[in-house]
Amino acid sequence: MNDDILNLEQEKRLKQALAQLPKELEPEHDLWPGIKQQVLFQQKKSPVVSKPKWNWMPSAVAASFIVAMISLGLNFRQPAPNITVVQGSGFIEQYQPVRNDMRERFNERLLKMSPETREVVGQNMLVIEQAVNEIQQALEQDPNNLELNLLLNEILQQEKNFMLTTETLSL
Amino acid sequence: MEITQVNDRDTDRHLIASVLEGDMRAFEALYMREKGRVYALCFRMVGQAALAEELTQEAFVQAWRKLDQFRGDSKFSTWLYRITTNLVLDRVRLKKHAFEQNMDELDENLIMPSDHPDTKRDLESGISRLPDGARMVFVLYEIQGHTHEEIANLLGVAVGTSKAQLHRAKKLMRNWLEL
Repeated sequence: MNDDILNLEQEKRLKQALAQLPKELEPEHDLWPGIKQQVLFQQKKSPVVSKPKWNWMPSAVAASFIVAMISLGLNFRQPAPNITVVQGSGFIEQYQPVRNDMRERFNERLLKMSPETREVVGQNMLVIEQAVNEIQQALEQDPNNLELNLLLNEILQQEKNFMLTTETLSL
Repeated sequence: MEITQVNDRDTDRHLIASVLEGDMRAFEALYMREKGRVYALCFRMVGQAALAEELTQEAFVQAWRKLDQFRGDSKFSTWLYRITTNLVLDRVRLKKHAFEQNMDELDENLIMPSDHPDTKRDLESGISRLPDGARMVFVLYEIQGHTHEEIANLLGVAVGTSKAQLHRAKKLMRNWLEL
C-alpha cells in the first residue's frame, strides 16, 4: 500500500518534471543552408514540388557517372584504406558504423570548404546518398534481388571513395 | 484558442501554397517555425545531437518532397512530426530484440554517471541515457502523446511490449532522478 502511494507520488513528480521540459530545442548548427541546398538541387532536377515517385535507377546511374568523372579528374595523394563492403544479409548494418564515421569526417571537411566548392561537393554527395536510399528502399521490397544488391555494394564503394577523395583533397 | 488554431491553419495553408509555387522563403518560414520542435523530437528519440541534426535536416527535405501530398486534414506541424517520427524509426531501425531483451538484467548495469552532479537530475540527460527501446516508447508516449496502440503500430511490436518498455523507462528515470 505504501509502495503504491510512493509510486503514485513519484509518477506525479515525473509528470510535473516532464511538463516543464522545453517544447523546443535549438540545434547547435544552422541547418537551413543544408536544407535549402538539397531542396534547390532537387528543384533543378524537377522544377515543381509535385512530381512522380523517384526511380532509384537514374540516381544510381547519375551517381556512378558523377563519381566516375570526379575520380578521373583527380590525383589521389594517398591510397584509400581498404574497407570491404561485404555483400549478403545484414551487410549494411555491419558497414553502417564505418559509414557513419566517414560521413562525420566528411561533414567536418565540408564546413571548411569555400561555399562554391561546398555546393558542388555537397550536391554530388546528395546524389549518391539518394541513390543509396532508393536502392535500400527497393531492396526492402525485394531483399534477394541480386542486381539491387550488387548496385548497393557498388554505390557504397563509390560513396566511400568519394568521401576519402574529399579527405585527400582537403589535406 | 479555436481562433488561434484557425489562424494557424490559415497561415499553414498560405505558406504551403506559396511553397508549392516555388517560394523558398515560405518554406524557410515553415522551417524557422518548426525546427525547434522537430529537432527536440529527433534529439529525444535518438539521444545524439549530431544524428538529431542530420535527421532534422532530412525531415524537412522529405517534407518538401511530400508537400503536395499534404491534404490539410491535420495541422502542418502534426503532419511534419509524423514524417519525422517515421524517418527516425526508419533510420534507427531498432531490431525487435531491442524491445525484448531481459530488461531487469540489463538495467542493473545502467547508472547515471555520478561525476557530473549538475546533470544527475537533468531530465533531458536522463532521457538520452535510456536504452534505445525504452527511450523511443518513453518519448512517443510521454512527450509526443501517442497511445500504446499507435506506438505498437509504429514500432512493429506488441502493445504489451510498449507498455513494458514505458514501465521500464519510468522506473529508470525515477531512480536516476531520485524522484
